[in-house]
Amino acid sequence: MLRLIFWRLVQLPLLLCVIYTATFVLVWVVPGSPLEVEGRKPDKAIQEAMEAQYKLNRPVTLYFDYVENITGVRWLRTQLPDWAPAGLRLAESEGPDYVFNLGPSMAYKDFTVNEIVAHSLPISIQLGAAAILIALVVGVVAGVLGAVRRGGLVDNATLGVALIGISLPTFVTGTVLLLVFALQLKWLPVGGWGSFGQVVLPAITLSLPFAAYIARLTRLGMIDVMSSDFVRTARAKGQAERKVVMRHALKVAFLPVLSFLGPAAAAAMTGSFVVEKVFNLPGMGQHFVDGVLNKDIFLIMGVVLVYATLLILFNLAVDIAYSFVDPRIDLEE
Amino acid sequence: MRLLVPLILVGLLIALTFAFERGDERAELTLHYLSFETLDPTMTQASADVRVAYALFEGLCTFDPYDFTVQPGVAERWAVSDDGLTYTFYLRKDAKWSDGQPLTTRDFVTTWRQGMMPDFAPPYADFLMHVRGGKKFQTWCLDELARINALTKENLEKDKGLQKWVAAFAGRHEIELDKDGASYKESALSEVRSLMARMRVQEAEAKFAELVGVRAIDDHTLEVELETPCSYFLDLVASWPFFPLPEHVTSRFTRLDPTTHMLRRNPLWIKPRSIVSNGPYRLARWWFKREVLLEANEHFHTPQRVKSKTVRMVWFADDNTAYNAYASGLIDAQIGATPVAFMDQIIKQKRAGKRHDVHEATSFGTYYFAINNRPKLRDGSDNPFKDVRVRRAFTMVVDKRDLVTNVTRLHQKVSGVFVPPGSIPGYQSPPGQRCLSDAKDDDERKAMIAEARRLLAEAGYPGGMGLPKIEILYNSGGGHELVSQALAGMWERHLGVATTLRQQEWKVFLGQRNKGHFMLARSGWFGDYGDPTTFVDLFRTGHGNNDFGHSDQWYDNYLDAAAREPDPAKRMKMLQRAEQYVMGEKFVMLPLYQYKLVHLFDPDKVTGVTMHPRNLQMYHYIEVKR
Repeated sequence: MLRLIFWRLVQLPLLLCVIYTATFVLVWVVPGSPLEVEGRKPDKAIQEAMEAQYKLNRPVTLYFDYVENITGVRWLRTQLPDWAPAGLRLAESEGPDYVFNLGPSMAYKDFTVNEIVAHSLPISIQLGAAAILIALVVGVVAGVLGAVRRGGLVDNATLGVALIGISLPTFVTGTVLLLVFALQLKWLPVGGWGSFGQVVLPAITLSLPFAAYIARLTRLGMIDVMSSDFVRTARAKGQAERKVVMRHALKVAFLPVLSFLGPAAAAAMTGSFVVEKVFNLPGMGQHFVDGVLNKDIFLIMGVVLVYATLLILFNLAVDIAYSFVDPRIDLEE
Repeated sequence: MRLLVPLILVGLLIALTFAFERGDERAELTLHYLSFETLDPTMTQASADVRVAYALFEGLCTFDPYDFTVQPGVAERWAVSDDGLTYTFYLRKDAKWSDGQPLTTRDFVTTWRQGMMPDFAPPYADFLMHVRGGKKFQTWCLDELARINALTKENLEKDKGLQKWVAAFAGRHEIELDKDGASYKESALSEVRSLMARMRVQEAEAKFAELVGVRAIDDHTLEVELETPCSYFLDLVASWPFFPLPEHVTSRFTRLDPTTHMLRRNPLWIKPRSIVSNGPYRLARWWFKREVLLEANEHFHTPQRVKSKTVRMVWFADDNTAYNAYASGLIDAQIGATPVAFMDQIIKQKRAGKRHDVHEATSFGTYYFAINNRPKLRDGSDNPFKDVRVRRAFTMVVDKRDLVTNVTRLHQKVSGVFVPPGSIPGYQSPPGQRCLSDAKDDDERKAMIAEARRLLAEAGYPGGMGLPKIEILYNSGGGHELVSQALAGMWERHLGVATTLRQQEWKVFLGQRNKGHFMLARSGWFGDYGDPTTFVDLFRTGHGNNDFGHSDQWYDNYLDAAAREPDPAKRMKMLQRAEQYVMGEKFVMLPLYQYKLVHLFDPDKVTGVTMHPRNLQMYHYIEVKR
């Protein structure tokens, strides 16, 4: 187990490095400059000075400087003892603003990317966690019910709803929910963030596709497991059907759901552009889109790296959880 | 069961996080915002940011937002010398920052000096360049910077003189310049560069005093000398690029960037925890893309004039969600509701007398299509629009009224000139361009179309023959596609020319337009100060916003002559002549309409919103009755 965690943590920076390089190259080849503005333009000399400030004229230097900043190496260099070589050591005043410095935002001049992530990621995590929770409860219950009464009314209804949940985009379901519950019935607020009521609709909207997928995974898994030998044995021992389903079958059928949960949680918790737009939420999803539109290169790289890190960590968490749920899986091998 | 425990835990955690966030009581004035680029007044560009700049800060003078006369601000009075070159401002003795610290001439001098330095490069630096010696000082700063950055290993190896200089400099400042064989050690060079950068910043103060016509006579008297007389200088002083920053705060956040050797101000200074302001409000809260809360500044010179003591601005992703919020009463007014999806419906209802909360105003901006005046296109081929007859023909056959009633459906005021008529006191707009919708009857219309066809034929393109495909460039979103399509239709119908539409994403589009890589490109321009030059200067040779590639010696000289003209009435006449020249004689571009502003608020409840075209909403004048 420890070895697995160790190796995964060794892989993490390598993976991030690949992702960073790919993002960096893409940002660079996309046409348009972040310094391109509408309205008044500064003199050419000043424009060049600005480009120099962001090192936009020296992509290779920028590439390595940025790595130094985000990994905390630059910060470390300011902390070196006096006997360290002079070329390595940096004065305190030359250090970055943060240990892991994601750089300045070019579209939102008053905020660093660190601050933007600090403002928006908690909101996305709260919303995403709520959505995954709803998806898990609804999906597993629906999946189990469907599998137990296979071909019955509940099963067909679940399958139908799941199909709709997967195929309907969130901007449709979100808008419909908004129209019905916020604008017509006025049970819940129109949008925004800060109170519990404001989470309900976006969390449900965000959970729908996940819930649908989980329901289908659970149902398939359950159908498979219910016809296996150990379930028959359990029944033969005379155990109550409820116990057979809940204790024996679900435990195994849940495994595919568990492996789905890692990427799903990462996706849900790093924000959804559409749900944020419909419900006017200040989450992180919008920065993936707006960052690209504004050519805000540091913001793009920052959110991509945060997302990638979360994705890798969640997958690791899922693998660890695996060994708890299913003792048959030995991660050492 | 074991599975359920973590689920319940997570659920509890989520619920707990919300227990800590409680809603506030409603502010006295609640408005919306879509985006703030920056709250630093010296770096501000967008109109939403400008409003906040005026809420938080105040310059030596300020505006009455209803008629745009210049009023006393931090300065209680001022005097102008007879030659119009020297302005003396007398600051209020009791002027204070929101933390109670005295506000003195020092704050202005420091802010303006830093504004002229390329390190911060404020977008409106050229406002400051009206001051004598500003340009010289800026050039000095740039040269020094270049000198520092030129000190590289490669340059040193090539340049013997530079080697000598570095050796002497290092000797003087006791820097050990040991060499690795023939080449210098990077660490030593970097030490030299940082020292030079520090010296540059120190010297800048003395250089500024020597070169620039800004002199603090004492803590409360400031003398400003101009390069040339400028009849609208007070208008500039009242605007945000001349606002002061609190030196005692910004100095703590300003430091040299080790790689570029330029000064950099950490944006942390503009966060509620550290920012100090001198306007009617102070910044109490700024949650990124969520809300901004302003509270009355108790140290403002006339606190009794601040009608709403708290102003809360809530973030909305777009105008449509903001409109929903306005309709549900979440915000008190929707100021400057730019065309939302239902805007034509809203205006229709208003015109039918069904709504009283819709207020239409024309703004200080013109929507137009830029025409490329350059002789060659990007690919090196001949540009048909270099011929004034072609430009004239294209501008003539456009039915602008049809555009605003059937395409944009917002009934904007159509325009044949660039400076929005009626927005600048003392300026009479010239006749400008005529187009199809100016025709009195069908016969005149037909005559105009025939005239346009004749012009095109004269230019060598009878019936559009021989013209390359005319490309119309526009950015995605904002309804520009519909306008471009309509224009293409008119040109095809009346002139028989073939057009293609080219849509580009915003930043890409801006780059193409700035570089002149287009034939016709969608554009818009808002004036920055109350003088026609804020519009007509665009057509000067080499102007940063001269996307048209227009270059005319006579025009440049004529504008220079107008700038020297001491008689204001005569000067305005000259500017009118200049505008007629570019619009009605050279047809440099195709103006379509004056931008429209729509404000939504209940006039029985909300008072103080200005309808002036320059649309400077000062929050402390706005009041909501409950």
